[in-house]
This record gives sequence, structure tokens and C-alpha cells, in this order.
Amino acid sequence: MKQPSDSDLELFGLKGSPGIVMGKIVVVDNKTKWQRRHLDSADVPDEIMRFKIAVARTEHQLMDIYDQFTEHLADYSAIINSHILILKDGMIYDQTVQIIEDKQINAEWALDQALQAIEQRFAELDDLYIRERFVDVRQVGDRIFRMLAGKKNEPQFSGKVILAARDFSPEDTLRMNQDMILGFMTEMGGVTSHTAIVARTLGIPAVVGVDSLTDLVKTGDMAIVDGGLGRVFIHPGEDKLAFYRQYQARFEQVDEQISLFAHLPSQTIDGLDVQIRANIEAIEEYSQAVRCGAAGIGLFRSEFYYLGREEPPTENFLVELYADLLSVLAPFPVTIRTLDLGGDKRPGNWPVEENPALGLRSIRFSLWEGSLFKTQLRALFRAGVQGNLRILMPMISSLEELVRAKEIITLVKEELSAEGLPFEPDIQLGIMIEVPSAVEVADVLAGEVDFFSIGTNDLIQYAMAVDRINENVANMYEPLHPAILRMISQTVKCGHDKGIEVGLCGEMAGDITFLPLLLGLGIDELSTSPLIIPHLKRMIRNSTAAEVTELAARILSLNSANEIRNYLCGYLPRNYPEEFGIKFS
Amino acid sequence: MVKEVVIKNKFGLHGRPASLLVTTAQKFQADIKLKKDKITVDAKSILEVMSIACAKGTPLVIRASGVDENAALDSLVDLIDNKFGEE
Repeated sequence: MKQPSDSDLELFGLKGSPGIVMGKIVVVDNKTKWQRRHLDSADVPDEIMRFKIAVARTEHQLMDIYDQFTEHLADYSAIINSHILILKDGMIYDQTVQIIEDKQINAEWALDQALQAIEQRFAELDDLYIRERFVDVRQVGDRIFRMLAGKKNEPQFSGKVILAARDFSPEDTLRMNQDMILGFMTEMGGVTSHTAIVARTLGIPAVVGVDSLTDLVKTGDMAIVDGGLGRVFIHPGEDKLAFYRQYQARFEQVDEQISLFAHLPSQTIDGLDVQIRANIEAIEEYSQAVRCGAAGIGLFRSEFYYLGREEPPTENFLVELYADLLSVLAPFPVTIRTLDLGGDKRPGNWPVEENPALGLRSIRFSLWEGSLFKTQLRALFRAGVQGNLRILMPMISSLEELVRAKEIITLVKEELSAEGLPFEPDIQLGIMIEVPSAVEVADVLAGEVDFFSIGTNDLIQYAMAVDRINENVANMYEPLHPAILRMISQTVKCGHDKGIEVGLCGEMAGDITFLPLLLGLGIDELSTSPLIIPHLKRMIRNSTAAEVTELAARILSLNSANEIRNYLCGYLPRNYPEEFGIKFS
Repeated sequence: MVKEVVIKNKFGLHGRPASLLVTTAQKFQADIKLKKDKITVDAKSILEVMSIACAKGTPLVIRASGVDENAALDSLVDLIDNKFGEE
């Protein structure tokens, strides 16, 4: 498949809500402009009345949205409810009235002062989660500002468009008419913001947290929004459009069929069970994983909660986060991968490295820095009492590294016992197999852990010395290279010899083209983005262990990626006509 | 009337539990305060309640004064003891 190439402007944001849309942008200026205005004392009561009416109308508007949307979707009622409470809160309402009275200045200025005071108070809090809820306060404030300015709170436009704005509130998102709006992007917000959660539940594709978005785009610009990747392409070339149309088609097809067969088991005709689990990075994504029929979480990318903030999360914050995820998914396992920072996921103050992919990243960083890793491990063991936790360590490349990590784990457990804190001592420990040296010593490593998870994205990059983001060599990135398939096969054998489970969680796991081959190579668990799971499970139900084993043996005897691809081109439509039909090429 | 409680629900006074506590407090005429360490806040203000950031395990003193203070205290203590209906 062709890789994305040219585009006038590529913007990087955060994954708000998955899905791909293409269309014209409408920039929504939902920030109102106002000036500080001194009042004659005779005008003060009128100004207070103007403010109170604006709040009453805003409340009415929120109540309308509440009535309209919460009947079927209880999740939203809590969000809107909290916004109504914030609107009428003394710190906003009484304070603003007080400031208008005392200073004899207009309502907008008074409201702004009240909001600033709240912002300051929230900024001092230790609790990261609550500090972030100031976003909600600001969204409610913006709504009052718009009402004071006499602006309609609903943006006006015609035709199917992509909206761009500094921020949208969860209510804005709820009211987005999906016949008119393809998707949206914002400057503010993160993956766990209420806005992103609402967008995901409604299935509106969105990218959030795009720096300087409203300065970089204008109404009428053509754009592609890739919500699953957190990317926006402005003025995309024909190549890129064609590439994304293809992806979009597949995405929609999967979506329509989810409800029909997501819940069915993942067992071959002759009784081989394969676990299909989900890759997620924000805790709220668990519901989609469950809806898509995932048997637990095969990869929780924990670093998301460390990126884009000044201080790392506290141990207690992490305990609550992990405990919640574990308890909602129990008895299904939740595999939490320890910090995988570095490489292409570097926080702002990261040291500059010539070659970050081969630098201080992932487990190397965790072992080098020490305290972040220990805090995370403490939180994991403490949360472990709440469900079925598995800990996965990334980028292990030697026995020494694994031994050091295990020493830290032993230390953490001793500390927790000494402190008398409740924790689960028996937690399955696994490692990612994604460095070629780990494949070569997989027999040794298998004796030290409870499971393997093969990370094909990095394994391919490191084994073939290809950076697939680099468009000059991206076409050399080849999952079907016999070297890669032999590495997978060897890892599975080493794991099974020691009686441990071997999973695979790279992008290969989510590509139906590779599924029969991976089953045949003996993979016990595939972990992938949730939406493809129903498809994978259906294909497994149409497979037999005997046939896929034969397929894998045949493919391992071939000499090149081209030969393998040609073979699959014949095999797949014959054995999986529903998926590949005559169109597969 | 004063009662001491400990926040027992998993997420503490965040999000939905905070909203629920404030909404319940607002149903009563009594003046209701929450005290964490040395900070006292109005139980009828969501922003003030959030600003004391009560995680699981936080001890709180609830003080209610007014005609319906007993009923108010009972309702709030019930809510907190029942973990806001979370589990």
C-alpha cells in the first residue's frame, strides 16, 4: 500500500475520536471580544440584571441540551449536570455580581475576573485530575460570554464541513448535527477531556490539542482529519486523498457490522482459542473495546498520562486510574505497559538526541531515571488487587536489563509490604519482544517472565533498519519479509517451549491480511485497535488450526516478501471470500 | 450539627460524585460546610468542593446549621457511606 506523502501542511494533535474525514474547513470563532467599560452607579443594577439574564438563558440552553440528549446516553447527563452546577456556582455567579457592584465595571470584565480567580485557585491544586477540570469552568464561562454578546451559541454554516475552533465544549459536541458536520479539530483539550469523550461516544471523528490551529487554518481550506492518528492535513495532494479514501472505506465498513457479531467467540472451527484484545491509551476507550468484543486489554499505553503536562502524575492518581480500568474489565485481563517514553514520544524537556530511535527510550529511560518507573510500579501493584492485571515492559534487549527491572520490582514489593499498603504480589509479568537481540535470546528471556508480546512496529524498524516515517525508505518497511516472519516464529517457539503465552500487538495484529498467517505461526493473543476486532474474530471462526498451520509452514519456506505476497493473494480470497472476495490485489 | 466521615469511593470527590454531593446539599435550606484539614468550603458550591480535592480515604467534617440540618447531614453521610452508588 502506498504511504502518505505530499501535503501542504501537516498538523500534529492528539487522538480525540477515531475516524477519517475529508472536506472543507469552517473556522468557528467562539471567542467573544469585549472591552472593559466603567459604569455610572445608576447603571449598575441594569448591568447586574443583564448578567443574571445571560446566566438564566445559558442555564435554559443547557437544560434543553440535557433533555434532548440524556435520555439514551446517561454518560452525558453527569457532564451537563456538572456544567449547570458550575454555571450557578457562587464562585462565578455571586462573585461576578459582587465585582460589578463593587467596581462598577461591566459584566464581561467582572466575569473574567471571577474566572481568573478560580483558575488561580485550581492551578495551585496538587490533584492533577481536578486541575484539569478547569477546562470545564472555562467552557461554561465562554458560554456566558457568548450569551452576553448576544451571539447564538450554535455556529451557522451550510453543507458538510469540518469545524475548527479554539475549543468546543461537550455540549457543543453533543449538538453537532452529524448530517452537517464531518468532524472537528480544536486547539485545546486532551484525550481525556469531556469533549473528546463525547466525540468518541457519538462517533464524530476529531483531533484535539492542535497548537495554534486557528492561526494556521482558514474557512474554505481543504483538510483531512485522521482522528485515530491525531493528524490533520491541510490542502492534501491527490495521492494523499486517494490513500485516505481507501482507509475511510474500510473504517466505515467495519463500523456498520460491529453490532452484528462483536460478541461471538474467537475460536477456530477445530477448537483453537485465540485471545483478541484491545490496544488503548486513554481509560475511557475501554467501553469501545468492550463493545467491539475484546477479551480484555492487550496493551494499555500508559505514557499518555505523562505527556503534555508539567509534572508526572502522582502515585495515588495512577492507583485510581489503573484500579478503575481493572475493575471495569474484570475478570478479563488488562495488560498495562510501563512507560514507553522517548523515540517519537518525548516530553517537552527531553534531552536532544541525534538518533532517538536508538537512544535513551522506553525501559532504558525507566531504568536510568528510576523514580518515575518506581512510582508507576508501586501504583500498578497497589491497583492490582482490583482485577486481573498483567504488567508489560517495553523494549527489553538483554537478560541484564530484564534482571535489573525485576530487581526494582522486588524492591517495590518489599517497600509496599514494609509500609503496610495493600497490594497484589502475584502479578503476571511480560516483556515486549521488539528488539532483534531479544528475539535471539528469547529462549533465555522466556524462562524469566510469564508472557511475551511481540511489538512488530519497532521489531520491523530495528530488524530492517527502516524508518517508516521517512518517505524515502518507507516502501522498504516490509512486514512480510521472511526475516520478520522467522523472528515471529522463533519467538513463539521459545515462548511455547517454556509454556508461556505469546501475543502480538503491533499494527500487523490489526491487519486482516496477516491474520491467518499469524494464527498459523502459533500466536496466542492479538491485541489491536478495537474497531477491527469483530472482523478478526469472524475470520478466526472461519479458520481451522490445521489449515493455518499448513499455510504458515508453506510461507516460511518461501524466499522473499514478493513470493509471500503472491501466495497470500491466491490463498486469502479462496479461503476468506467474504473478506477478500475478488477485489483483493 | 457536625459529623465526621471518610471518603470511600474510588475516585474521591471528583466528577459525578462531586456533582451528586452538591446537588444533594442544595436540596436543603441549612447552611452546609465541608472541612478538610484547615480548609472549610461551601458544600453547595461545586467549584469549592472540587477545590479541596478529596481523594479516597480523605477524612471530612460536615457541619450543617439550619432548620433541616439533621435531614441534610443524614442524606450527605448516606451518600458518602454508600460510595455515591458506585459499587
